[in-house]
Amino acid sequence: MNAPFSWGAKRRAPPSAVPADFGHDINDRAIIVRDLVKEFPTEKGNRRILDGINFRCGPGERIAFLGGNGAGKSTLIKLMAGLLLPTSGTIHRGLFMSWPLALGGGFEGQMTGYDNMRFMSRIYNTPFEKMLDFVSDFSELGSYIYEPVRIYSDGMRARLALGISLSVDFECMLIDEVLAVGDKRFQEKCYHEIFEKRAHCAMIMAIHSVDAVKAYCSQALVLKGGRGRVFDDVNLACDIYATF
Amino acid sequence: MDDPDQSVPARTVIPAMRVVGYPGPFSDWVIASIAALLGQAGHQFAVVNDLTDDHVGVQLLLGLNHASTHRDLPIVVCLDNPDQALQHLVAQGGDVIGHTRALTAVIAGLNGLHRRPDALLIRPADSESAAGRLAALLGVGLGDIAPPPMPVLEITPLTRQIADDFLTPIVEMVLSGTPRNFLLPRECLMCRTHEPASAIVEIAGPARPLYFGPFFHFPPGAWEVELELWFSHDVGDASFAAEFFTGVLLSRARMRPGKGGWYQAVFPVLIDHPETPMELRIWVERGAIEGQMGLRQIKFRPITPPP
Repeated sequence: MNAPFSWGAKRRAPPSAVPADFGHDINDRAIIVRDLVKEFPTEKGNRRILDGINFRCGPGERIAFLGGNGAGKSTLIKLMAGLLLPTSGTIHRGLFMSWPLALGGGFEGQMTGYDNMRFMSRIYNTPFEKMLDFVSDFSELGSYIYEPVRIYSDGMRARLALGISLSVDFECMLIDEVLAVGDKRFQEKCYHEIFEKRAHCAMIMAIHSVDAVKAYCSQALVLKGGRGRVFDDVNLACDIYATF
Repeated sequence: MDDPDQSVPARTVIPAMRVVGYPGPFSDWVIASIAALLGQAGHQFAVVNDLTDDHVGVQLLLGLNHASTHRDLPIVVCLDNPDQALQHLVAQGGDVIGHTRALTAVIAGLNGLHRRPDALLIRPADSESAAGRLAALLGVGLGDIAPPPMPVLEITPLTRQIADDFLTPIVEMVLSGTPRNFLLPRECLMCRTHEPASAIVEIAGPARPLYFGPFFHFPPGAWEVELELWFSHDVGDASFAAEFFTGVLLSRARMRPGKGGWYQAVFPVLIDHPETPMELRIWVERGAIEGQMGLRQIKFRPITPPP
């Protein structure tokens, strides 16, 4: 469809648009997503949840995914983590990326928190004593560290997972609505650990808190109808999201 | 002792009259003609904004407020050609939309004054016979006055467009009493940043008016409004609303184009308070992340009642 250029109006690039065609090489120290598409099969045919998503997140940058329920935020986080494969498009992982923080799905329920930590420290080549000290202090699980994870509540499981996540020196943190874990004091501790002590990390987060987005993020990817657009003006992105 | 029978040249008081019209050279010309006729007849007169009992009052009125307080006075309705009137105001400074708004207020303020038995309607085409008609209305002789020449201004393109598409049809409508089609130029509207409306606007952004204005006085009646719109291919599921608003919502239409292309939105509006300025707002109803919209024209057609 042709735009009515005969009116004499010039078609200008919209403000705050991040070009989708940013090139990269294999050594690029960033997370780069290009033309990402994700479809799910349904009884009525394939349903396209994400339709050509593009963004880039480098060290020290924080990008928030904003969108209504079902917009594809968690799907995108899972794609970033490798828990889902894209239908098409590419994800360049040029930084040491975490799993979605506080994701407790990888725990072995029969093992204690202590043993799960030993397992994780071996996988991620992190000194166990360092992990144990940090997680014991951060998660506030007390003696439950030595109990099987299967008896943990959802909140306890999330605190363990969050603690283990933060004890590994990831270069890029994936955060999927984890910041609401625990009471207010624990949430403040999370904010301090994540946004202040790890300010040098790249962060990719799906959160509903507009205040947190405005306070901590340098970009926002707004998702709607499967489409996404990155805004450098985070306030504008939040205003758009607020009127969805 | 003076002879009481001797006539003394008296300065006769003539009842006040009103002159209604746009501010500008044509009104000035009519007032100058009146002044010349009265002066020639030896009458006292004054050009005043408010009438007094002792002088011939010549009052230049804008809008309804003054007109409604002096119903019994003879009236001269002098209406310049809209393009000249608008260009004169633009030449004084200020924006063309604001001046158009002022002219629509004058037109709305006529409110049938020109049809009164004691009203005299003078247009530029009548200028040759105007002096004689004014003399008859004033009850004075025509004499050999020579009214001053009336300047004719060069019209700029935007003024021409607003005058031809909008002001002239409305003036003709008011004077004839017959509704007719007219266009509201897109350039009379504004965008969110209070800038003149552009042909294409970005939809991306929070829910907000994409076009609004012009706060003109529109002619009364039942109208069918046709908006000619364009949407880009990435408009998605964005929905839009067009509203006419005068402090209360007069009419509303909602649109969800679904895909790019040209569209017409046609919906009725009833204007029964022409003294109140009216606003057209075209909204994007929800936040959007992409897409563009264009507005080509806004057409008003009178709704003909069924036989």
